[in-house]
Amino acid sequence: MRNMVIFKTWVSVISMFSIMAFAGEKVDQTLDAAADSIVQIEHTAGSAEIIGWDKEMVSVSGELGDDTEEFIFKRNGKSIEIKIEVKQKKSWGAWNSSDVDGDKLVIYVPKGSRVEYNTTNADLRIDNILGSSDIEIVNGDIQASNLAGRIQLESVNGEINAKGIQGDVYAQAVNGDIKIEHVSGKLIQVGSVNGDIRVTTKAEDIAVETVNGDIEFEMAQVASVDAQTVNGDIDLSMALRSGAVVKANSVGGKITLSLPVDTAAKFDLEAHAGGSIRNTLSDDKAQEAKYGPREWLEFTTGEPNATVDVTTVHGRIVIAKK
Amino acid sequence: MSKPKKQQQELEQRIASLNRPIAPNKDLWQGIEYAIVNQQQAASRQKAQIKKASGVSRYLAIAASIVMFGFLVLFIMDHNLNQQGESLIANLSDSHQKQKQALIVSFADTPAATNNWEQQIADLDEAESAIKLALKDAPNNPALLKMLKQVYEQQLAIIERVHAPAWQQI
Repeated sequence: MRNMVIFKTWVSVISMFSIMAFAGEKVDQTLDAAADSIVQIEHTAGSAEIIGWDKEMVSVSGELGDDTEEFIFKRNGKSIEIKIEVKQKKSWGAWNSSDVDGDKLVIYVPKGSRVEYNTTNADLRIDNILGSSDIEIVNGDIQASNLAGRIQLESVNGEINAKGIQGDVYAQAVNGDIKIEHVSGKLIQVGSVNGDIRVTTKAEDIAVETVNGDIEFEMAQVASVDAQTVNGDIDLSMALRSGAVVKANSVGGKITLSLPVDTAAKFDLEAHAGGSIRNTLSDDKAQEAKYGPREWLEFTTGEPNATVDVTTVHGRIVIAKK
Repeated sequence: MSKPKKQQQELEQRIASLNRPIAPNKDLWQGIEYAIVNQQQAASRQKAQIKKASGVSRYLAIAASIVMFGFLVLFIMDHNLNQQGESLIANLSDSHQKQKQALIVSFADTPAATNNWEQQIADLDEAESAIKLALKDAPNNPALLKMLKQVYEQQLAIIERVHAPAWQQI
């Protein structure tokens, strides 16, 4: 009797599909799941669509890749694991090659789920996940829409394109471009090395950095902004809350800040080794050092209740009317 | 009139004329008095000026000493601060290079996810040089120091990201 109870408990805690799969094999399986499940998905190559729905079930359908060794689909409490093991690991160079035939997965999860997705060489489309999303891709693009909660999107060599995003956002790329329409949320942090970043956001706390990529941020009312680049251009359009702190710096890139004419702030602008400063927000003009290539401009507008500090080494600073 | 008598008369006239006091055409005493008074006043003025001048000089000398001392203190402080700044940059740079090399060595057997990461590191090396050049003129500039620190952090982040061990396990 006692053994029977243990067996039933075991069956209720763990539900699992694990099959030895063959090249090109179709999958179509479903597991019951909690509305706030934690769904962990891991595969090596191919493509995946992850879609939130109203059902308390997780469904996986599609086709497995040529190198598939084992397909694991199991539940343990609120945790659902979807994993596709391959016969042998290849180097990332091999995964980059176009002849790799990966998985083609369509995965439905309860829309309140927390989704974690990892792959080395796959494109992802993810839609309607309201719990949280944590996506990491080495080579592949991310198409995201209607995500809420805490959203983390990372691709080393792919593009990130996200719209209808609500909640705090963290997005990173190395070589890919990043484009985000951030509808609501307090915080957004975006970084890239070579990719360009284009963001529209209503967040009040913003941090962005690139090495060579350009930065373009269309913001609402901000409390804090920290933007930095080495060689890219920074273009920020915003209004300042009372007490706002805005910092931007570049080594060689041009920094343009567009602000409303009624902005009340203290500005501190510095261009060091041959950089230049142009201000059209007020009549104040930059001063040039008598000896050396330095330029600077300090001025205030209105009754200042915010600060704007901009520094460049040999780039250009432009303060303009929005 | 005999000749000797005539000569006698001329002599007497001349003697008579010699007795007459020699007087200037106008009264010179006023001028002399003015000159004497003026000389005395000039002397007193000169003394006063010398006295005054020595007082001003003293104050000027004191002021100059204070200013010189101030400049000296500022120069020493600035020099020390600059030295501190340069020393900070050198330490920061040295520490970063060691950390970077150690990280690169630790990932020597790990394939990189991108094939251009070394170029990105080189881009950041150039940025480091540009910032350091600007720091030579202003070794204590907080914004430049922050930028240098950010460049170093970006280099380490790139090396780690493209060799991410988490991705190796997939």
